Amino acid sequence: MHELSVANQIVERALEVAKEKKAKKIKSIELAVGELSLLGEEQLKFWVKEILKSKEIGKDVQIKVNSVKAKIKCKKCGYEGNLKPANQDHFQPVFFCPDCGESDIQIEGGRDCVIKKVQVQI
Amino acid sequence: MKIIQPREGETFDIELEESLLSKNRELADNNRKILDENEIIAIDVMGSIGSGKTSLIKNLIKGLKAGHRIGVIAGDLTTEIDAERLREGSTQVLQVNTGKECHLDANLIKRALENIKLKEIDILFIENVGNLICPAEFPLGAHKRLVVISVTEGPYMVVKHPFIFREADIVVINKIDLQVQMGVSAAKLKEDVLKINKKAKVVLTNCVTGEGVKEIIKCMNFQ
Repeated sequence: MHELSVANQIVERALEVAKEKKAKKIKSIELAVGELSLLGEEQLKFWVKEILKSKEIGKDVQIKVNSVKAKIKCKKCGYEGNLKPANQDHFQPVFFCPDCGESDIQIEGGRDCVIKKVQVQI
Repeated sequence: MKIIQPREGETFDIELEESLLSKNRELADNNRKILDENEIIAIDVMGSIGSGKTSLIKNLIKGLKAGHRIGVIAGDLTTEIDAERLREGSTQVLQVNTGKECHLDANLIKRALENIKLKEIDILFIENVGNLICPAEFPLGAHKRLVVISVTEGPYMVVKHPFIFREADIVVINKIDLQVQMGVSAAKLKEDVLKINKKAKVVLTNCVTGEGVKEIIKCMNFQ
């Protein structure tokens, strides 16, 4: 839902590192988006491209988004691993342990949005 | 020393591995430190548009003002309506306008805290932007997270937004006087919350009469 503000942060950072390296072009940006991050991958891609379109350095940028699976740990039965398809009965997974149904679970991964790398041309 | 550098036209990767949300979390931790140093308990009040966040804070101020000095940060897109509504009974009210942003973030709160006389308050209510999705992802550094929903929003508010309820310490179900007219059961909403988050304290309220407000104050454990 806040893809635009996150996209602005990504572009700002990419422009910063491109400037540091005295790059002429930003060729691609690789992101890792967690499935529990509340960010839509398509919208995020769209906005990053859209913002960079108006700048010579980034007008042909490619955006790669790797989806990161959620990782949870159940505080009751000790299950460690991904959510299972049965957990995902709405646009967001509902947070129950796929093994025992407990709601008291720890989210260990899949919440973040990470800039993995920026590819530039000198 | 010979340094090998990329030649003109060459392409190479800059490995970053930078988390975009961790920056907010760091700022939130820092806000918490500032609040603790000044012995302030902060409550992040979240909820959708029209659920009764401002009315609830007004009621809480009324119930707490005798023994406490209260500050409010009112978050909104562009208007100052909420700050005006909350002025009565608060020692300090600060409006934070996010412009186009759908949530408050830790950086905005950091800036707000710089503009509040922290020694003059001991409770701080932070009214988040009306939204049940984005605020869940941006902790502000508050000690407690409170979510307000109302029966007028329909029967599916909890099951549709599990994230925000999962992270809430207190959940308020408001406008319980309208259950019959709306055909929505507050007890069922409460059940939905406890299914996702069994540690949450769920309180039913009517912010017009003030019903339930004392119970929320009890849940907040103010000294």
